Amino acid sequence: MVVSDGGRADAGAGARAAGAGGAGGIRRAVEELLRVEAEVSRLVDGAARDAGRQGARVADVLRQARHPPVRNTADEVAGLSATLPGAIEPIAQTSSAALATEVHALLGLLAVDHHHLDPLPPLNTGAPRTSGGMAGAFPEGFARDYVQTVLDDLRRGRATTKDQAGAHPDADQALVDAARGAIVAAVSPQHRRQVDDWLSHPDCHAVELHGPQVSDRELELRAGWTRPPDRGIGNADPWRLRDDGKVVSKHRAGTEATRFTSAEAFARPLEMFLDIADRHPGGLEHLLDENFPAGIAPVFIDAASAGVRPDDLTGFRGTGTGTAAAAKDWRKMRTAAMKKEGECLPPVRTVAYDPTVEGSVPGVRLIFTRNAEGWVMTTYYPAGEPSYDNVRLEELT
Amino acid sequence: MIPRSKNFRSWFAWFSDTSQEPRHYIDGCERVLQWLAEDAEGFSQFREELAAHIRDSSLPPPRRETQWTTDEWLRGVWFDAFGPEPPPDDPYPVPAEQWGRVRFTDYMLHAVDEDEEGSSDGAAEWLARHGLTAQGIHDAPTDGMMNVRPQPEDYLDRLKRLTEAGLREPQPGEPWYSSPA
Repeated sequence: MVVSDGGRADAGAGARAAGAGGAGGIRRAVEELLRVEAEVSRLVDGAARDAGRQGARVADVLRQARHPPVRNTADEVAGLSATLPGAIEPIAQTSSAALATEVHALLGLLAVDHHHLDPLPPLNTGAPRTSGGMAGAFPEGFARDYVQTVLDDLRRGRATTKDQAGAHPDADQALVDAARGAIVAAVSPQHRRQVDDWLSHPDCHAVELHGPQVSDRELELRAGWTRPPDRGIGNADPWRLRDDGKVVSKHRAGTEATRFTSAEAFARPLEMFLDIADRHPGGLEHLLDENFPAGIAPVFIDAASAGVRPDDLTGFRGTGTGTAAAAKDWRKMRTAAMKKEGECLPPVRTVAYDPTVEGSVPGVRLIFTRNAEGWVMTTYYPAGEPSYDNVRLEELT
Repeated sequence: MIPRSKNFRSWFAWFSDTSQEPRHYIDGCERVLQWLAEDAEGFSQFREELAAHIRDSSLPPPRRETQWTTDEWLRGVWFDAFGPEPPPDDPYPVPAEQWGRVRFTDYMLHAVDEDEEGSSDGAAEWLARHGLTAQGIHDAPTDGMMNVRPQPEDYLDRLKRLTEAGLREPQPGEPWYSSPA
């Protein structure tokens, strides 16, 4: 192990500084360090031919971390890389150990101060770097799970720029109309009129935002910068990049953006829902009136019973947004980037995911609201699990 | 014990999810005054039950959340829907000065923009009702944000008492929880 005593003595100093900012501050500090670790691993792993140059780059990356002990390590790495052209492994060991020590200290603060867990066991710095990557060095349980989740997300996640979002071509009304037509054609004849009415209603954006004509890139830009996939058509939100570089839009997007990959996949759960509504005495309006007195009806249909298979659904979501608090931190940081003048590297990243694979109970959410004329389907989209108190279709039968 | 009522579930649907399409949440927050004024069926009971769930830590946590983070989530929903006055008998009321400065709610994150052009139509009225300004929310730095406070020292003791008194169900992960056979 090539970590200097000075580095050891400082370990945790950055963590304590970051910890002063509350749980959100700690999480961001951990994620920043892990991002550095991921970058260092990538560089080191490909460094067989030019150790000196790569070592210098590793040192540069380490210096970008705002943690004094990690920055000190950068100098050590720079020295090593200059004098020992073949010293790949010591470089990796040195940087990994410094990063792991800091992350461990941060996770300790998070676990003890914010989750009231027992203090974390000491970091196992002897663990080989290759076994499970950095996460293998963390004690089993909370710390290892957390590090693994964030590392996985960061390795797969990426950022888009404001200019990329602004330059993306507008949607094409003809493609949206064709998708709607294909969906209507995919339901059985007795349900075509109803489905067409739902999907053509001005309050419904199900096809515009979640239809098969939406591209993966458009999902990525919706999650990353709230750019609506239907920008440029009909009554879509005119999301725009103003001259000062700020995003201006009334379109609302959460941490996830999903779509159906085919007209058939879009149609299947709707067909199933309508079959059940047909069997209800009094039909659809009564079914909704009886079960949803507050005027909003969020119905969840799970993928298995709706015949929705892997590859029928796809999406993008913010990295590390698995808890309500983390999702709020992420959204606030996205907003700050959107309202920053000029181009900026977004502080948040997104990752592609398949709700049928990642979700705990994958399926679709169908949302109706009641207005003066009756019930209107306002949206309909794939999700990895029901949201809180969604009513399962089985509860309505 | 207060199992959540069908009425609660029905009204909570306006406020329970912002993961993909926050517009229903925004609509709900902006229609609260109207629902109260017209005495919409079941709405005042919803308000009472929400306060009781916060007081008794009795709403079962969603996956990946603890009872404390769930209570904190509900405090944000209460603020957005009913205003800056904490719910009656909240054992851990959020200090008023934290809202919009270090603590951000779903309404602030989705309906309030720095510019009127990007704000929800009801945002000006909502901000006035909550004693906040759009610029103040946007100028708040992200580094110090604390959307969930650290769990208080005495919280587990309190949960234990509430559980023993039958005011809430034991939840997975709690020391006194035993999984159903």
